[in-house]
Amino acid sequence: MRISSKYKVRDMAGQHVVIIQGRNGEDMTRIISLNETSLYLWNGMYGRDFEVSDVCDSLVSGYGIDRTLAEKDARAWCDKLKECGLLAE
Amino acid sequence: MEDEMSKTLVIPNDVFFGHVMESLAAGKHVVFTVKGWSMYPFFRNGKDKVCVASQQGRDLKPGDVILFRFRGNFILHRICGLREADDGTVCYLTIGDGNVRGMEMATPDSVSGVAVRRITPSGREWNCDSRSWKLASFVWMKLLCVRRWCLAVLRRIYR
Repeated sequence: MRISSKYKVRDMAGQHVVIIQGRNGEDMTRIISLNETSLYLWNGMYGRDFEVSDVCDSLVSGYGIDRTLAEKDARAWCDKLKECGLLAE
Repeated sequence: MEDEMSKTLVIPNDVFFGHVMESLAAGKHVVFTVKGWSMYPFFRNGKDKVCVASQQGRDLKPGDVILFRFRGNFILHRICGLREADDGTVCYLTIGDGNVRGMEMATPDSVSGVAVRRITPSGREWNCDSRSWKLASFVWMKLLCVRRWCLAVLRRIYR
C-alpha cells in the first residue's frame, strides 16, 4: 500500500492535519488530525510502498514498544488510512 | 484513534481562510460549511456547504457569489452591481442574500474565489452555473425591496 500523493500534512492552528479530497475538491469539513505517533508514521511511510510490517518495525524502532502491541497499532493505523481513503493501492 | 477521528476541530477564522486561500491559489476547489445567516436562503447557517473555486480567469458579474476580504473579515456575498472606484478600478458591490440592507464594496484584488456549487446536508448539489440557480438568484435579487417579508416567511418554512 501507499499513501496517496494528493494528500499533504498541513499545520493548522498547531495541529497536523490532512484535508480530505472530496469529489468537489478539498473538503474543509472533513479534516483528519494526526497525533504525534500518526505524524511520525505518516512521515516515515509517505512517498513509498509499505506493508503493515513496515509500520510495525517503525513503531518498534521509534518508540521501543512491544512487537505485539506495535503490530496491533500498526494494523489499526493502516485500517484508518484505508477507511479514510488516504491510500493509493 | 477512532475517538480522535470524530473530534471537531475548531480553527480560528484567519487560519482557516489562510488555508482556503492557499488551496484556491493552487487552483483547487474548496468545500466548507457556511456560517451565519447572511446568505440565507441560498446557504443556510451551519447546514449548507459551498464549493468555492478560484476567480482567476473568470469574468465576475452581478449574481455571482464571491468570497472576498472586507475590513479584515472573509465574507461570502453576492455581487449586486459594479461600481467604479476613484482610481478607475471596477469594484464589485455586494450584499448578502439574507440581508435587507448594508452593501460592501469588494475590490478585484480582495476577491479570492467564487461559489460554484451549493451542497445540502443530504448531499444534493446545486450548480451555480445552472439555469435554475441563475433564475432563482435573479428573482431573489429583484425582490430586494420586499426581501424583508420574503425572509420572514421563508424562515418559518425553510430552515
